[in-house]
Amino acid sequence: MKKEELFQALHEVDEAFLDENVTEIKHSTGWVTAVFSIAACAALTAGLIYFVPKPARNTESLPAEEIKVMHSETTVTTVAETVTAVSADWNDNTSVNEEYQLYDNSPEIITETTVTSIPVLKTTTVMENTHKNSESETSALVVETSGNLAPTHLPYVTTENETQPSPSVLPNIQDNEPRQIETHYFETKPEMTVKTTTTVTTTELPKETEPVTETPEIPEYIQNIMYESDADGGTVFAREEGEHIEIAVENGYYAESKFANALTYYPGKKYWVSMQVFYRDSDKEGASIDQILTLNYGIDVRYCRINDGRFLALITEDDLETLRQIENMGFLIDLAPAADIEDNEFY
Amino acid sequence: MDDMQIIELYFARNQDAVKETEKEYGAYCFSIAENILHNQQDSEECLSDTWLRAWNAIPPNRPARLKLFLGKITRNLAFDRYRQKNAEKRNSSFEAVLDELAECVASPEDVEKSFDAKALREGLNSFLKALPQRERQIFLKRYFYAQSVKEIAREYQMTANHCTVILKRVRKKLQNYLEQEGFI
Repeated sequence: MKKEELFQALHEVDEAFLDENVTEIKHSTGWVTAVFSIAACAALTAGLIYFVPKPARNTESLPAEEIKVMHSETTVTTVAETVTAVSADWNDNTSVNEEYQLYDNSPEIITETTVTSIPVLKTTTVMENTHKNSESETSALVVETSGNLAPTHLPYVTTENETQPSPSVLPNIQDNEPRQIETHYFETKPEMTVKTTTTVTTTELPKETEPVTETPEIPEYIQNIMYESDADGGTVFAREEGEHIEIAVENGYYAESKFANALTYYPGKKYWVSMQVFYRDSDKEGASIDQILTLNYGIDVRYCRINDGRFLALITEDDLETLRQIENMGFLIDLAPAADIEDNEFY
Repeated sequence: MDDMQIIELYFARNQDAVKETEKEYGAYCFSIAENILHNQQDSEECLSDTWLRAWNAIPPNRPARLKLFLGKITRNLAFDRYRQKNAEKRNSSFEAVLDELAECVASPEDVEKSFDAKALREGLNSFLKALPQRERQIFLKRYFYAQSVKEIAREYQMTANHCTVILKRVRKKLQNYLEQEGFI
């Protein structure tokens, strides 16, 4: 089969799967792990509405030929700004609230374990800004959003008898450096009022953390697992001793942004993760060198597989920095709760 | 205007059908074509061909999801145009998508097998159905819509690295599945 044939075969995928994509694109919202303040959000939006003396961009609702030439003196000013809704509630971190099934070397299921979830505080703030073109010429209202937050932007134009919603999704910014996310141009006729609505959703970890006491108890069967390397230190593999292998997950947490969908780290806490590391540049060949890195960097590996390099590791918050350094050296790291292991990956 | 009203315009052979279709889905279809062709003029021509195909196909077809019906036409037309225009030169962005898919069809025996196209389509749907939703969505965004890894990572609020890892895992699963089912 040729690659082009596979690409073409995907043409006939079930439309229900493509529908999932359409819905996801329209309604996704941004999440960050930083603490969010309402004042910062108000400043973020209010200070960024201004007029740009250049032709407006052709949006879905504004055919290019209808946009008038703009004048640099013409402005659209913000006349009102209102925080219309703020809500906050504790939600479970669903990324770790899953049941999973464990396997021994046979394909049969031997046990099940539920991971305890950690609640996070979700805060949603909705702000409306009203802008008016008090000039005698048509102008472009430029709506820009920047900063280290991830708003879902839902600007829309209102006229006397017509409302044209133009929803869009803005990307999340992971770091704290303010920068422009996206720009929208809206044609504003003289005396036209434009209302923009910005929704920002953030998450916050619980303020109180549990006291750090000790390493989670290592199950006896994992203690029996041996690992060794060859003469070059380039390969590590493990053998099991005992009747079966069981994976223990203690206190899953919500992710630090660099390793999204993994686990959150409370200071000093240790927990088991499932990890895979491989060269970024050679991932097409499927190279896997996690064993070397774990040996050299001292991450506490208890079980390894040689097929694709996935292994169990007992890590702390400090190990995150190690993993970041490893990524900066040109590797890809994939972290997951230790339960996220497929049966055919077992050694 | 909703899909049903637009489709009724097609059935009435009212040329406003094309105008309304372009108004509702022009940007969506354009982005599909642009992801493959990376050329505004070619993408716009693709769109015109899409409206013509839709006009000729409706009736008798009455698509349940007009947006996806049009998107598939555009994707097909864009890919055909891509192959015609780029027989010698390579569009690196879209070629990267095809090169990634090449991993899935690499046969350990290095022999090209013939396959039943219908069985492959059914097999792909079964494979996709068995995937977790997020992996399925990311896979389709890359290999159906030909979106860049960066765009996909942004939509799912993850790093590009993480997205690459997920795609690699799914491609490996697909390769195993295709081997198991005898397609490669």
